[in-house]
Amino acid sequence: MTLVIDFPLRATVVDMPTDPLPLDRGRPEASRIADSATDAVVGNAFADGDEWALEEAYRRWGALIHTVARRATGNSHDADDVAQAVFVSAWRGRHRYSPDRAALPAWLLGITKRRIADHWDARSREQRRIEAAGHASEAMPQTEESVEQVADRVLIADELSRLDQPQRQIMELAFFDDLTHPQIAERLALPLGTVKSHIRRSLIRLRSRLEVDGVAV
Amino acid sequence: MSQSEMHAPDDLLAMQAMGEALPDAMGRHVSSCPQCQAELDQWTSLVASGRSSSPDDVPGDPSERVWEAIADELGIGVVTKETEAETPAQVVNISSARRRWSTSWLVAASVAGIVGGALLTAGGTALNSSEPSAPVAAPPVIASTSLAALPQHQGAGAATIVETDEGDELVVDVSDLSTGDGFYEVWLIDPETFQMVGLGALVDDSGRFPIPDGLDLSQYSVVDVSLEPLDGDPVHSTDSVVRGELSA
Repeated sequence: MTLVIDFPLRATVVDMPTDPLPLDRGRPEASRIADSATDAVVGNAFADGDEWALEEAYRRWGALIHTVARRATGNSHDADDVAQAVFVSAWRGRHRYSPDRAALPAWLLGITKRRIADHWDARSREQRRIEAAGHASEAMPQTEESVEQVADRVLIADELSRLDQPQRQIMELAFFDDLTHPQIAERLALPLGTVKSHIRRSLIRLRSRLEVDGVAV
Repeated sequence: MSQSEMHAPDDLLAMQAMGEALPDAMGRHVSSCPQCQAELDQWTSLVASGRSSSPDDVPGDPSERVWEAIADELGIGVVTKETEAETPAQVVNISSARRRWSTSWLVAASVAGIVGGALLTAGGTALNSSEPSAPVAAPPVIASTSLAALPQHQGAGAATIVETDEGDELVVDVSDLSTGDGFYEVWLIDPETFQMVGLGALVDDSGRFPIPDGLDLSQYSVVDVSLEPLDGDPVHSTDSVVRGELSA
């Protein structure tokens, strides 16, 4: 849609992205403008306490947080609790979030790591009670460092899933299936040089996206 | 400068982390250069994380159930029978020339109703964390738009009109606006007559501006953020940075 606004002093012609966005699963207006907001706008609005930004933050990063929690705790039910605790405490503590210092997903991931640590603390207290009662202990809880590693793995897997084809398939064969570059070339019937240059470009892109999210790997 | 004295390019280090050997001279440089080593360590760590990941690490869709639990615990954004009934009604007084507004809002409201537990998030007033978590309907969003940068400028943002107890407010959130001498001012503009109302200075990345009573938002539908020189002239500078047209 083109809107012409002729200011008193100077004509200005503007193309504005105001095409109506389709209704999305019954989620009304606030979500539809949020669709086009950049991550930085969502972060600023979150810090400012605008509620649409909380829902948008959940839409953008809820699955990431939940997956980190699920992979760290080993079960989906605990991950539900962790994800809920993360967003509730992030919203209540939003005055502590400074958009200038960290991207919102990075800040949320920091809270996620602490909530998972809390989860394991509660687990090990429970375990000590069981041991004190004379029962055999189960597996040791994971350390905080391995939560860090889980978060890195999930972030990378998330970014992989956003690559275009054939880069995505090539990187999945390299990372998920641990194939060598010649094996990938053979599997996909592509020249080895092509495979390598896709991998090179994908790695550069992966890292810059991880840096954009403010999450150092 | 010979090649062995140059730092290794990023993409070669990335490929070495993937197991591809560097050219000999480059390899000798990297093994004796702390800066290249540090860079290589980062790539090695990324590749190690990548190789230990699996399809099960790929996030799926965020769970609606968890979102409902979050909204419920915080007492926000839950559509109640009252807001569903009230919201279309308050749009009715917008002039018939822009009846499409109320129509599209009715569609949105009824879809929200069909979904039942559907959640309405609005740019509402900040909730104090000490408030009890009883579900309270957020103030409804009457209209909204994204804000896009004009040519020669950069920046992005969003603007929403929300209904509060004190009357309607325009909530503006922006980021990365072009900088320049002066200050940012928020305007509502009538795109047909080019009349405009200055709502005030935007001093931060976000601001709230009460809408003057009686201002017809179906007429003054364009939200505009301008860069204003500190010249004491209250007229729009014509230097608009971001802009968008409200729709319900």
